[in-house]
Amino acid sequence: MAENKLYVILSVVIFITGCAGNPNYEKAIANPKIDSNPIRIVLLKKTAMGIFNNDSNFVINCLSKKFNSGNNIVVIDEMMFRNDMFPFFEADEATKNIEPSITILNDERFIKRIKQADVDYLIWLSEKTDYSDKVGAMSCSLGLYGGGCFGYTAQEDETRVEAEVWSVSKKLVFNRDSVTTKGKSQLLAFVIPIPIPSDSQSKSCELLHTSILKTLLIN
Amino acid sequence: MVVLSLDLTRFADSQLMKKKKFLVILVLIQTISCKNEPLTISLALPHQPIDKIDRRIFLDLSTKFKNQLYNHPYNPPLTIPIGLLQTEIILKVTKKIFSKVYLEKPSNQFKTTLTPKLIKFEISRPEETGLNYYECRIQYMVLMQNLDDIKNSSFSVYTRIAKPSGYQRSVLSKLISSCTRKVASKLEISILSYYGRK
Repeated sequence: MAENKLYVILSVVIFITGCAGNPNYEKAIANPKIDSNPIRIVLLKKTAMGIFNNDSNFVINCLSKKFNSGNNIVVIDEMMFRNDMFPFFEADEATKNIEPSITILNDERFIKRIKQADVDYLIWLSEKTDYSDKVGAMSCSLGLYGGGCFGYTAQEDETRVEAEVWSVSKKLVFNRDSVTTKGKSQLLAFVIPIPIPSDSQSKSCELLHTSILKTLLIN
Repeated sequence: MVVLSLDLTRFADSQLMKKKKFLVILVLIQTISCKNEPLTISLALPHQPIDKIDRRIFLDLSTKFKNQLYNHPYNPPLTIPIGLLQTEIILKVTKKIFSKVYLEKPSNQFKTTLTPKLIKFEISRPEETGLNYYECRIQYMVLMQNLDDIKNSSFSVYTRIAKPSGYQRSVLSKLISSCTRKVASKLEISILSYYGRK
């Protein structure tokens, strides 16, 4: 009996370790290599072009938290960075809010400023969430003797997030990542409405974090 | 599909009607007070310590430039003292760059002069454009004169802010503040590009 138990435990241990993949890589993602100088990044919201028009800062805030929670990456606040770079990093165009292009990294005056700020990477982020039609029905009523809602509605959504990583020292675009995730927000009501928000944005944030981290570690 | 139905028949009760009237008056007062919220425009610019250009400059601001008003038939009508804003901005920028800025010409022979001129100032609401945001467009022409040459520099600025669910007054404040920041940015770059290399 004891021998059988040992076989089961051993099989489980072998199975788990076998499925763990490349342990060194996983470790690097979870605990990036500690340098004496941390990597300093700025997460910038891309306001240019109409395709990514989400006004929400969800992905930026979520990525900032994730990067700051690691001990090798420092996220510099976007507004602080833009103020430090003033007047050289303002969105610029007569008809659209066009953000500066990569050629700004060749401007001596800008480079002088960015070196003072000690920034290694600029990461441009844009996000867009598309919603499908709502399905289901809900009815609410209110009277002198009370009220309540009954029913169920749901709405599917798709979040697309793009990231463009600029290396300040190499003066080039390192990588362009794009992540698309789907989710569903639901509203269930039995007297009291219970909203269940969609998790598409948080899934996008999670995937993009891993992808950007890989880019930064490889380079 | 969401169906929202309110049982209003029971509000016929006289006591409830009084409460309802009171609520309507309260909402009305709140709306009026919010609509009259003053337009607060921030002229705060990030001040980076830079090496000033060792040069004295005469800032030639015309009376029209200093007192210009922008009127837009909003409901309620909107009047922006654009002259006051642009005078403040240009003074801030030039004082940041040059060692000495004169507002009166020191002598007839004095030739280092900067003359700004507002070409266009335009605010558009979503109702006017059919778009989903408020827009601001400004265009300037700056005549920069030195001892030996003259340059006419022209620049345009554009800002847009998504239509909020609340009152438009606060979004207009944000829009104009953002636009003036961009004016300051372009103005500073223009001046640095011309005088900084002389």
